[in-house]
Amino acid sequence: MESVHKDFEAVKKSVISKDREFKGLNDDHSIRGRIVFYAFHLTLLVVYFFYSIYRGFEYARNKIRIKLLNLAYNPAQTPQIIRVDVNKLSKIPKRISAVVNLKSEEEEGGGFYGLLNDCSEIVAWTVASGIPTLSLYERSGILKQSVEELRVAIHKKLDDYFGCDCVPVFTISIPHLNQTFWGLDHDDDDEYKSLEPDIEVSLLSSNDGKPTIVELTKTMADLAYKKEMSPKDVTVQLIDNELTELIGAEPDLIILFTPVLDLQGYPPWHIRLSEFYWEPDNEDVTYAIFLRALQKYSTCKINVGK
Amino acid sequence: MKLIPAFVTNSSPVVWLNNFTRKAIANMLATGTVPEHVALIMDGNRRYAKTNGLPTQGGHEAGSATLLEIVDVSLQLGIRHLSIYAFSIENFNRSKEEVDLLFSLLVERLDTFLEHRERVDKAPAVRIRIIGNKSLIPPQTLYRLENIEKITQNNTQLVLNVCFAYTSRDEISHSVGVLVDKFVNHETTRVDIDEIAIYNNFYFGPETPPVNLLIRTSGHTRLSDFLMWQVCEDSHIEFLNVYWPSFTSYHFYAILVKYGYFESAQLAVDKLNSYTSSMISYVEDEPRKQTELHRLPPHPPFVSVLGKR
Repeated sequence: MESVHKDFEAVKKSVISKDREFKGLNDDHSIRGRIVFYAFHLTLLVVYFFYSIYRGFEYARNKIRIKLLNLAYNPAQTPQIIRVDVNKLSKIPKRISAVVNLKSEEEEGGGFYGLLNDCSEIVAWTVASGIPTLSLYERSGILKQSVEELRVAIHKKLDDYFGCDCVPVFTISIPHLNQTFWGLDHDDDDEYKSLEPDIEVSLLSSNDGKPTIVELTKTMADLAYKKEMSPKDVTVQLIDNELTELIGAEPDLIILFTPVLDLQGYPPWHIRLSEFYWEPDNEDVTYAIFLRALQKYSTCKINVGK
Repeated sequence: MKLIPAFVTNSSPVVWLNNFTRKAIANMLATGTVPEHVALIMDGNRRYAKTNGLPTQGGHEAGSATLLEIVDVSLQLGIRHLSIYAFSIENFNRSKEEVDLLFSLLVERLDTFLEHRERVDKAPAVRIRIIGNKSLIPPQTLYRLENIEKITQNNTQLVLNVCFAYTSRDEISHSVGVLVDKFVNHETTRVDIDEIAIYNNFYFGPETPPVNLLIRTSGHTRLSDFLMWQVCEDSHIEFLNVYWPSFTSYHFYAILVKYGYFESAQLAVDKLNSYTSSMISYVEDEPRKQTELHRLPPHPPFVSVLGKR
């Protein structure tokens, strides 16, 4: 009984003592110190246990909420419905970006063709909303390697939404390679290319993030070495101009179709004032998430530094 | 309107119980995974003041009190770096009166903070660093800030990085400019210009660990040009819908429980993956077995329902 009382006193002392921080506690290798450490750690594990139960409920609640939202918002492949939804908003972004993931083949809507379908759906919703610029960020860069498949998928989806005679004019660009593809197969069609694109889609991957800034630094270093510029010329404005030229302008809204807010190496220069939208525990690319992102954006106050 | 009257919350048993609980939670959390570097965007001082019918200065003062509390908690938990977004370069767009007020408040608050810490600690624990484009800070303010940096430079328990006249884009440009200059002066080679070199030439310096957790209060879901390079990969970002002065240590504990839980879970998954991949590679490294059927041991005798034949 005496020893139990002593242990209790030790725990109490370590808790309320002003100058005895945990760091000291962890360094205390005496038996009493170890007991106190494991007592706290055990409590933490119990807290984690209860948190995991809470997370289970939260996950189920979020999933049900997303399912209900998907039932409530269904564009039914009809651009008019999307436009009516969007026209209820006070403002919409000019440039949006979507972060998508290549899911495993085993998942429903997963695999490479699932990703193509997701991307083409986003393009259709964006163009129906009247937003002219979209960048699709997929970390590994698989979209960039499959432009031909992607343009077929986008064309087919736009055909489903708008009808075969009214497919909007679209371009797909890979900023990193400075390549632009027009429509389904209109790269050599000057008449098609003379039209103003209804939507410009650019494909981004992790290569467009930090590695591009490193490459730009090397290029500037070479130029400075050849006396074609001075190190003092390196300013925010210059880098911004170059990166806008290389990757495109900063998006107003980034929609993450991921369960958590994970930027996955998204180009850091381009997330200065961008609004983020993600739905906790959501892994699917659905219209409800897209629309809710636009709804949230419409309520945002934009005030640089003020 | 407060639910519990002030005389109850300020009574000594309640204060004692509050301190006891906070200390117990801190000691408990510290036995798990704690972020090494936490960054804070302390947003909402002015809206808090407006909501509570206070002058703007009242909101900033309440925000300073919250910061003191969070620094105390960080010390208890063993967090090594705390970075705060005190003043953005874009904030120079505010009225001159407010900019001057913020400058004087910052210096004043840092002085008060040092006095507070000296009172609480037997040995001062917090090192204050001013991070940002110092060429934009008025000389008189800069002199006072550098003096505070000098006084605290030998403290090691917690580094409080005060981002002042800072934006992430300015920091990246600064680093790129330094590297270009070094290359021209033959202090670095083309091969050595990489992501690590850019990070090492930030205002934060190479000794600052990566940001593990970024918290922004007041409900805005954007970074506002703060630590973009540092958090665009492998960082936890938390956006909270409370004004900074209303942010308490209990909000912080809740975020840290979540952080510790997910980090521990991630660690367990990584361990499992490395274990299974090592098992797979072990199996793959083994030469493929060649088994001939007739070399297997003889099977037991046949017994058929139709009788022995």
